[in-house]
Amino acid sequence: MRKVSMLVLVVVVALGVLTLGAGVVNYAMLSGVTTLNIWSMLGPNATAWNFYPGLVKYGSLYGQSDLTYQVVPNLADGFWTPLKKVTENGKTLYVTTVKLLKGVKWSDGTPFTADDVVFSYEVPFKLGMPGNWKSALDPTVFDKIVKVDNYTVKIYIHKPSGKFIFGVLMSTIVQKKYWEPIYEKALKTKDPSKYMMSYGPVLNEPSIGAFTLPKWQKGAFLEAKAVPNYTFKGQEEIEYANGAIRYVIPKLNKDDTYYGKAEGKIDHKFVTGPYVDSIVYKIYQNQSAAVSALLKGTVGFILNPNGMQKGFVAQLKTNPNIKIVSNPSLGFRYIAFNMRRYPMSDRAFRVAVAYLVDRNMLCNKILQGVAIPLSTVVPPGNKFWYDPNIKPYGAGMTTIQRYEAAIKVLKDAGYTWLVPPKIKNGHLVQRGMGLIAPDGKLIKQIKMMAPSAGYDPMRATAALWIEKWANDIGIPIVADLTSFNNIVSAVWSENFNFDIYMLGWGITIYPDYIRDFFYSKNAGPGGFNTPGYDNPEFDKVADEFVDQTNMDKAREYAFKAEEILNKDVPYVVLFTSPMLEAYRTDKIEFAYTKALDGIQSGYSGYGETSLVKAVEYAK
Amino acid sequence: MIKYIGNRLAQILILLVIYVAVVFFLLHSMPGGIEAVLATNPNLTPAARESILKAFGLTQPLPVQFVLYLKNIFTFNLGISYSFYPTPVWTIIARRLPRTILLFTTATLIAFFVGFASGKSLAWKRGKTSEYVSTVVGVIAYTVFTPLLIFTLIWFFGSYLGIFPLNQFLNPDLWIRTNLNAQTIFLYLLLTISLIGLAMLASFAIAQKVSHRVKTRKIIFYISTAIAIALAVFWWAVSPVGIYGFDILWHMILPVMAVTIISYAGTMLVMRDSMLETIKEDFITTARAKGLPDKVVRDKHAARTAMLPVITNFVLSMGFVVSGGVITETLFSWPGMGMTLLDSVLAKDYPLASGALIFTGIFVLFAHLVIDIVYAFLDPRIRY
Repeated sequence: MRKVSMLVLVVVVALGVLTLGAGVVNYAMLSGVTTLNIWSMLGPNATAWNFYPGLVKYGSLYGQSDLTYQVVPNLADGFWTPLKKVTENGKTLYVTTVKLLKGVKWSDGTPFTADDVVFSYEVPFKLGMPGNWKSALDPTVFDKIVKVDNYTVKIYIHKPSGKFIFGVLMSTIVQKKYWEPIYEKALKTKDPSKYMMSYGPVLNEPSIGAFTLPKWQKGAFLEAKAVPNYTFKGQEEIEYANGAIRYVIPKLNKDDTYYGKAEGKIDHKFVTGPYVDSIVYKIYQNQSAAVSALLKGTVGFILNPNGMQKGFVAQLKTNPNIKIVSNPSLGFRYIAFNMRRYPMSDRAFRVAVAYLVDRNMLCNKILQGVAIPLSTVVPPGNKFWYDPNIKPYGAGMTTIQRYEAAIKVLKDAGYTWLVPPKIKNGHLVQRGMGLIAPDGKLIKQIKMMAPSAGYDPMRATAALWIEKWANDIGIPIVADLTSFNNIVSAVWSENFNFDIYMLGWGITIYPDYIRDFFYSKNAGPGGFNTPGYDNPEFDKVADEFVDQTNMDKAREYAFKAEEILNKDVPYVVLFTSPMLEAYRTDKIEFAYTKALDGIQSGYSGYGETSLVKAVEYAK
Repeated sequence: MIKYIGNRLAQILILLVIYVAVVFFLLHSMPGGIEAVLATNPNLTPAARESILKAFGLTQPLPVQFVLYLKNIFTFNLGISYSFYPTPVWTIIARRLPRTILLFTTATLIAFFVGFASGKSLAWKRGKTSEYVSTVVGVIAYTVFTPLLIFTLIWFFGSYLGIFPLNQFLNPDLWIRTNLNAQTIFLYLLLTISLIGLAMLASFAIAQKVSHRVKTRKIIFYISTAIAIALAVFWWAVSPVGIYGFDILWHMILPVMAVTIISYAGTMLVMRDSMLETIKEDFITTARAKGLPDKVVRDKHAARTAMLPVITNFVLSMGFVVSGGVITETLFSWPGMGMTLLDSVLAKDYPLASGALIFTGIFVLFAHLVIDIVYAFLDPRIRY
């Protein structure tokens, strides 16, 4: 037995050495992949764990550039033509023409043509595929797609909108040759959509990306193999400081620049690979096991949409080959007021609370830097959409100044106290008690639901401090630290049964969520507008924002919408958490490590997969 | 006896219906259901959300869903998993079950035999230092905080000594070179263990027939068992898939050690206590007075009577084997039934969570029936 064990060990070590020498990078994932079937992956099985390895095979007409997140052509040849109004069968539609790149090939050598595009749009739309398919090819936006010739398609939509760009034009493209026979079989079944989603395991599906997925050992690992004839290998992506972005694709003899002239300082330059023979995604079911594997060198990087727990940092820092990087995450934690109830429906009350929330003190002193202060629904890392001119209530004030400002707002609105708060010589000498509304009624206890320390210590701490600040000036807020499920249930399942709650959102680069979260029509049961915010002026601006296909104009409206929200305070945005990640510098080399939402963000739709290098190979 | 079994089966059926109802409504009453989970995803439009709920069959009222679910259960249809949509729950259970059965059956069997033997000997040697030491160690092992034990084992054997793998059930660097499915190897391993078990049963039966002498019986049994094990090891050693089987067994050592330590202590302590009670009985004194050898009094008279509660524990443990262990499976990255249950509950995957619970429930209910039947055989005083 000992000899057999030794033999196994020798073979394993030999294979390991061979593997490393061949330019392989190993990633740890904290959960198994549930499907590699794209119909299911973008349907009910839309998880980050499925996306990491699963999305490498597919393309889209348009995508977003690395780090600057600008809309750029992917499989399209240049931008779409301006939308034209047409009437078909009495229906008013808008049509655009999209030219496709010539010479692009799938990994099996099949040329990419308009047939692939039309098939990829028609199948999910006709079958009513659920989930992200329905969001991308939203029936209220998308109408149909028509092939003009092998390299041209016409797309018909119901109305111009941002969803046309970030949904329709970015919808996933699959190979028709591979999927058509399956689709035909599906049409003969009772539930074709279910048949398509259950087809699998979809190994060796032809890829238009840099990798194929030939191996999947369920619950243990996946292997992505580099496509040797990848069309975009050697493509240069050059991002200029003036906002211009240039793509040079040697294999297609293409050299295009968008958003200005290719001149001046270059911020980033990426040359597309793949630079590794394969990527192995190893499944560990808990963070501790993945950290052990990283320390041991079995993996070079831990892929995790939530980043690493801070508790592991000290342990990892002891290894000189491990580098820890911190980036702001693409999301925010906030408190929401239920504006269907008094006094949360009173703007003065909300503004007073907003004045009291001292994000800098909370994040830098109380939470000691484990949270990043954030005051807007669009984080500064989302450079194009972030409005730097928004000044939140209380910006630059001390705690006492904040108390004074909040008291003033309440007094001006007609609020009084049984025992008014008193501030003398920069100190609170008497806490306020018994806040009385302008109509003379005593404000009763206001419950603020927040996640307990077991779920999120940062939010639990923030809730207790907000309670203290509010109580100091007599606002009877009581932090109710409870389970995440209880909050979600109270907000969405129990028809907005809350006064104030604290939760967080994971968001997208294109901030159409600004409209979704505050649009008056979304204030019904199960809707995103949990505060019940109802402002016709905001609705109008939000509609204008999402209806724009010109992103510069869309940004103007987004800024206006953000200003209105900042003034009305349906939410008080608190902070975002840093995305902590660790990788081995002796195993792996990334093209970039400073990115909104961390390195892992480059693995869910952006180009990091085709830019990563194995250190031995790179040398 | 047959009438009794019939009655018990009818009781089991009623219990099962109650159990299914409790599981179904308990899971659906958890705060923050699947609708709320979807509502917190800003990437999904309301229509997209509705389409998912429709696909999951959640647009109907809860009582209607329950009736449909109950109907499906009795046609052996556990539904479609949400988190593996549209994979049937049975397929997921079938995929995860062999991993769990292999790990936990091995550990339970080792724990039972070691616990039974050591509990028996300790009680017999009562008052000696070895009894005190073993009892204290047993109590510590029985009450130890499971994650602490597992982390200690991983650290000591995996990191410090570096002799066993830290986690996962196979080595990806080895398996990447083959198109073999790990599931197949798990099934082969289970088949091998089952065949060895059958060979042991057969040799036991043959030994009983061939000789009346205990010693001869033992020789026949041990030799034939050793031959069966040697043949199995030989087959795996010469087989081209052998290396993969050994790799899985290699990865099993630490988890089996952890589960064995925890369950062995329970069996050992119960056996010890039961033996201590039994050896006070008059029939033991009579046996000794008859001049029977100490070993015979201990093994044939005392241990046989004392083993009833241990057998109850063992059969129940075997019933629970199919549910796996959430902590063990999670910490050793061993995706079996325990992790399936945990992940499905966290993901609000009602069909998978109910399926895993009901599947375990059925096994445990039948384990109870088996206990009742086994009791009748083991204890002549019990008649149904």
